Amino acid sequence: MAALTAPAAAPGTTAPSAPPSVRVLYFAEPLPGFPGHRDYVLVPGDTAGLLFWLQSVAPDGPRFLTVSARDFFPDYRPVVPLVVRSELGLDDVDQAQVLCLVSVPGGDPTEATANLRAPVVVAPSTHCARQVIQSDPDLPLRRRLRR
Amino acid sequence: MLTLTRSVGETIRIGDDIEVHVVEVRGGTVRLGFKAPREVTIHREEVYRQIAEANALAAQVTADSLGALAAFAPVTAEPAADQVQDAQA
Repeated sequence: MAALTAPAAAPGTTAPSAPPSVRVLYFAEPLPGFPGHRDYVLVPGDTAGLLFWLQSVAPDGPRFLTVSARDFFPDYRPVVPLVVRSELGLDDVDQAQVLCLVSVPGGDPTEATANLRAPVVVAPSTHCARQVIQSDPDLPLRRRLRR
Repeated sequence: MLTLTRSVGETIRIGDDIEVHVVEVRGGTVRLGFKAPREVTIHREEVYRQIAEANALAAQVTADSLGALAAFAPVTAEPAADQVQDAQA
């Protein structure tokens, strides 16, 4: 996978404090509704590591706010089928980064919900990802974030 | 849209490696079986549409919400070592 890095400083100049390289996440299958986008970057949305922007690398591509499922929903256990683990190169499912897309109806954060029916599963070692639609119909599309 | 008539036990082939089998017809319901490469995902249309609609809503979120949302995380959250389930399917 490609990595986006800051350009080197010109000779004779002082290098600015370069941001860390950002790995491109490759989606083997585009997110439903966004068929033209397979390459994304994951950008921290806060300093605590709870929120992330899943941002398409395309200039006009989509951007999704996601939450770390591990932190927001400790009891959440999405299923990752064998075929998906193989596709992502996910040898150890415990190492997967699981993110849930967030919606904020009307722009009101108190009404914000997370999609537990179709989490985004990221394999940290390969930087491959997929939105994995769960077969359990009881998993909510819109789980309130506010307790 | 292509329309085909098939009976129980008959098959439709899509491309070289996707088969759709008519398993059962009862009343107004049809049971279908699929043979496809592992990388081909198959979903009920209404489920896929729900996810696509939810994704479209999620793509409208702005940075204005960030500060409030982080506060909704459980303060006592502990890392869950076995958060993701294996599935042999």
